[in-house]
Amino acid sequence: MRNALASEALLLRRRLAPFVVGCTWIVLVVGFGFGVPYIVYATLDPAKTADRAALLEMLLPSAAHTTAVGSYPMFGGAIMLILGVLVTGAEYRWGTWPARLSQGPGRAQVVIAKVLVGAAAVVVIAAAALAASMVTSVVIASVEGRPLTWPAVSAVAASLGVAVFISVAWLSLGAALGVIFRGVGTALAVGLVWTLGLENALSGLAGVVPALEPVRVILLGPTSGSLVAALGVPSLSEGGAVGVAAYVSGPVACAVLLAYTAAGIAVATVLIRRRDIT
Amino acid sequence: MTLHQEVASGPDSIGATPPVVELQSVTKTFGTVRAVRGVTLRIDPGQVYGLLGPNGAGKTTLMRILVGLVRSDAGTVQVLGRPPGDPRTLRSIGALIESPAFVPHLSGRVNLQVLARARGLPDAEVVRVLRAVDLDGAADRRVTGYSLGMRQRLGVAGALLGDPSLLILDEPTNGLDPEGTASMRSLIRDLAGSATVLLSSHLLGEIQHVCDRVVVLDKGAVVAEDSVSALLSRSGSRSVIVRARPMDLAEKVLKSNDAWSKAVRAGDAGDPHVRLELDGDGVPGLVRALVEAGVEIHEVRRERRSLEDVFFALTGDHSAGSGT
Repeated sequence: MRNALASEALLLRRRLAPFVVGCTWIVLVVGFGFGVPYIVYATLDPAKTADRAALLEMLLPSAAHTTAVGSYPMFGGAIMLILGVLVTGAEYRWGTWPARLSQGPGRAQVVIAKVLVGAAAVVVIAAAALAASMVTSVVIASVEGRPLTWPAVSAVAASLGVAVFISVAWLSLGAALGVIFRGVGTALAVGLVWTLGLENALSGLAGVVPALEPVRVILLGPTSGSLVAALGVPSLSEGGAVGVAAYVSGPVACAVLLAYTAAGIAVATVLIRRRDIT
Repeated sequence: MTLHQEVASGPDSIGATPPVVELQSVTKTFGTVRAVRGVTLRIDPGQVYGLLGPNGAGKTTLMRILVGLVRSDAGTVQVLGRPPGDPRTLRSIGALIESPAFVPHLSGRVNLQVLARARGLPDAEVVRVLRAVDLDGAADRRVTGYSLGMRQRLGVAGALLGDPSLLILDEPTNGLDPEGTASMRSLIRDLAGSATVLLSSHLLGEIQHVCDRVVVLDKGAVVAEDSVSALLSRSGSRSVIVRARPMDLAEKVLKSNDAWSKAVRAGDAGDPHVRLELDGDGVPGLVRALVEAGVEIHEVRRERRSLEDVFFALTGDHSAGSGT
């Protein structure tokens, strides 16, 4: 396993994919989590004092960690799914699976190593996005002449943990899709259409069709949003981020995300083990 | 230390008795296509085996089975005493199957380092194999800028990582220039002292020059397995060429004897000759009859057939090449 991890770590470190995905995500978090709301704040009717204050409060260092993690349920997950697809699917595109699987480490070890190394990349990306959020919030606080009030370290760690937890689940799903569809293109198309389109449609329908409500429990997007909501991040209706809503409790959301992670790794591993590599 | 000495210096000695590869009635079907049909084969250590067969004969499938990339439907396979795909076995096998594939935007060196780490090998091993295939000068260029021949050499370098005791090479000289081809042949011959080599090539001359033994596959089945010399003597050994003057008289003498009546005129007007099937002990009688008839004999020789002739005779195919 150690050899497989060393090999996959070198491969991912030398690839552009994690850097492109990571930078894209940081730009999205800073842009949509802080940039756009700040523009809204700056252009909001000064008479709406309470609204402006509430909006600014979310952009200051004391709340930067929750604002950052609020971006994950909708777009962060999709970004991490892309990374997962690239981790496994690119090997089909390059035709490198035969070489990868004939060096010594077993097939399961190679797949698990890929996901673990991808998860390590996710930790770095999530930490970098959090750091960028903190820096942005400090800039906003300075511009607005607000005092720098820092959140508790435990709260920041919890936000980072939730971000990583959500990201790894989506990454695992992406890795499985890359193997299922033996490539990048179809896996990305199916993954993004499902997560950004069908999941949201189903979740929205569940709001008006009570019979569909239990379906939300097994959907990755709503459970990710529920876990973020469990941190105390306001939902969209409360002025928070898109996708954040307490559909299920925190522990249930954790269990579902864990199940997705395990299922993603299991499906990818079983398929790679069972299939002929040609 | 020379390039080839470097390659051959590393491996551990190979046990003399157990076969490197042993297949018993191995069958593999893809959908409705039976790619390998009941192949039984034993490959002994330290030799260079050539794998010949027309397109679709099952050569590449057989190689994939040995590396564990493809699982056989029936039969038993043992590679280095273990089932194919066993991690301990894989670390002792170097394989280049079909066209070499690498991460295109990474350098040749990094691509090999990724493979080397999977085997637990240090970067120094990468330097060694790059030098062995004469690619150290281009090692830090991106693979996407490599020529076909350079990719091929990089693929062979990947197969050499860790001094494998079994080397499986599918068309290793594909895309190489004449100098590269000669160097690769020499490299393979040098490796034979320390490793067993299973080599597939559509260049029959290459197989003839490089290999000790040849396995001929046709439609997924083994149709011949022998040493190169035995295979060459097996087919065409009875063909005798007779050059004589006057040719008409020689032909008349030959046609008058039942044993030689199937002689056929061959060659053109500038080099007329007769070809007939004849056992070795029949040659003196033939010469005596021609001389007694007043025929002037210029040449009587047994025709030496190439591996290509043998291949065509065994497979009935005129398009040797890489296949499934």
